[in-house]
Amino acid sequence: MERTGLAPELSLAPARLRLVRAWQTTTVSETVFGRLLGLFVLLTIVASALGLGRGPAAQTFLLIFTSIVIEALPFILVGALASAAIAVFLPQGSLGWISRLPFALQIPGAALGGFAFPVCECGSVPVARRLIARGAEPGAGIAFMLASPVLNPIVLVSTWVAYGGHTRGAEMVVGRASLGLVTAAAVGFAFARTKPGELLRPRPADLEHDHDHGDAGAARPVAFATHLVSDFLFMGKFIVLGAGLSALVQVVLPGSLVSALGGAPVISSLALMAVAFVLSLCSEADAFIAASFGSFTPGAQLAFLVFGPLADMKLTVLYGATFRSWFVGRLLLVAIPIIVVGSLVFEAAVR
Amino acid sequence: MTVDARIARGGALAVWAVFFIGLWLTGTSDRFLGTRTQWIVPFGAVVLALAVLAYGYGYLRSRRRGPRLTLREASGLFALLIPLAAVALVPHAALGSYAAARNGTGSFFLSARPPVPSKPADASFLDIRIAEGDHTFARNAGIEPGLHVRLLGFVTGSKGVPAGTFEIARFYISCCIADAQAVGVPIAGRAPKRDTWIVVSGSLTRRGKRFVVEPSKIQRVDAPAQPYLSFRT
Repeated sequence: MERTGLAPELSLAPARLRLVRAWQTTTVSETVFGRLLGLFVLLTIVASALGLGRGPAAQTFLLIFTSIVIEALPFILVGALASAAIAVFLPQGSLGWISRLPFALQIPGAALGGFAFPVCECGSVPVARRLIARGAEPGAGIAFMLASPVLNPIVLVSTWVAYGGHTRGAEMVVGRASLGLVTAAAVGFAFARTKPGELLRPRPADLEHDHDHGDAGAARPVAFATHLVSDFLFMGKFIVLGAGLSALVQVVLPGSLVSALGGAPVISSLALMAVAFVLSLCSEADAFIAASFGSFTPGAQLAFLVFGPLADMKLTVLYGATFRSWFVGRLLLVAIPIIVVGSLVFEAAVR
Repeated sequence: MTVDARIARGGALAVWAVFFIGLWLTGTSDRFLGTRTQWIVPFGAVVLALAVLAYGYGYLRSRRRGPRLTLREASGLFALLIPLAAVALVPHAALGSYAAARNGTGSFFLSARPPVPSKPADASFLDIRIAEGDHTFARNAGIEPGLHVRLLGFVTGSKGVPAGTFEIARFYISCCIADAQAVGVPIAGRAPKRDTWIVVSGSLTRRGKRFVVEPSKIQRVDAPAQPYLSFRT
């Protein structure tokens, strides 16, 4: 393995930070990569020969885990396609119409703009930052950032499919779009009087988008393919993690405990919001995991679907790199009560 | 020599494309997905294959040295291979009595109203369970004591059945087996071993709130090629 250059200031950083930095920058040699790949295949063969997946609990876990991944990955791919198309083919100034709207319309208008902007939550953060930096009302930028991962057509279609279409699918789509829109607009208004300099963390480079999009200078088709694959692989690993945790919850937690938690209106919503925060799922596929929490009320599942794209572990990292440290606190303070109340209203409406 | 990250990414993508193509060609996707989401497999196979080709084309056209594979990215790529290893561990498995005990008794689907069966004798597990609590549905479907039924299912070992009976069940799927719910019907008599697949023919009787099958014939069979039933409304 080779170590790429470490920043000089990190020599004084705590050991943990240096480890993290090494994890991010240490490159893998062909020999090590080949050995790791061989070990992976060998472990799979040995585990299969020993029958490790044949116990009832392990078998149930593996079946649920793989089925969630198989169903979610094509939707991740669609999201990556849209995201790559926007990054490569959408002209830079095409979102400037938001800043030309009257002030009172900017925030709801920006939130509604999410319907036509199919990006993942990771992709919407740098777009919002760019909008605010170019003079858009900060609240409008925030509203757009929070609305697009919930409201965009790919997310709504995947929600409809995950809930089996028909009446139930339509209810969840309408509920998700409505509550997502209201929450995004409300949070946007909470940031309406903030100056861009107070909200944005000053950063010269575009470091907030964690994935490496690689060869940005290549021709458009090449850049498109690079964006597509990078986004797909970046989001895919979070889906694998989320599917694993979801399957684990279904297998390990006693059914009676989960059912009891799922039956209490407010607690079940808060519990699934906490699960959404931990799982850090992409909004384009999270509906399949929400639908698998069958012992929870539809209102709690809606809370999961609306809260997850607004705040989760990976987003918190992105928010921390983009906005001032108080941003996440205010976001949660406004969003959580609205989502809990909205989920209760939804529960009463569909019952 | 370090690894070009683009080769590793393209390799991971290609493995998934091959997997989806395999699922599509072998018709084994119904072990993971319900009928209404089967289209995801050919869609994923085609789009992933096209993405691999596009990425490969981009790699061949690019003359610049690409980014090197870091430990962090390598771990992410290996994480993406874990589900494929998981499939290799359970190539022919299906959910059984363990999952049935944890996934309740089909309450997820009981609130819905599927169309009534074309003939009363064709009543399914779900029809019989719905008929237990919905007299209008039971009347419309012709599900009543004395009705002769034939059910294929696995033995669950459920305790929540009338005394002197055991339960056989099938899993119903809406989208994928993550939302599978076992729906069972009690059978009078001594229980065979858990997870044994049997065909029961007999008449329905009423014991309290439950319909119970009084069997005239019980036959052990192999697990069906499609162990799950699709939930339709």
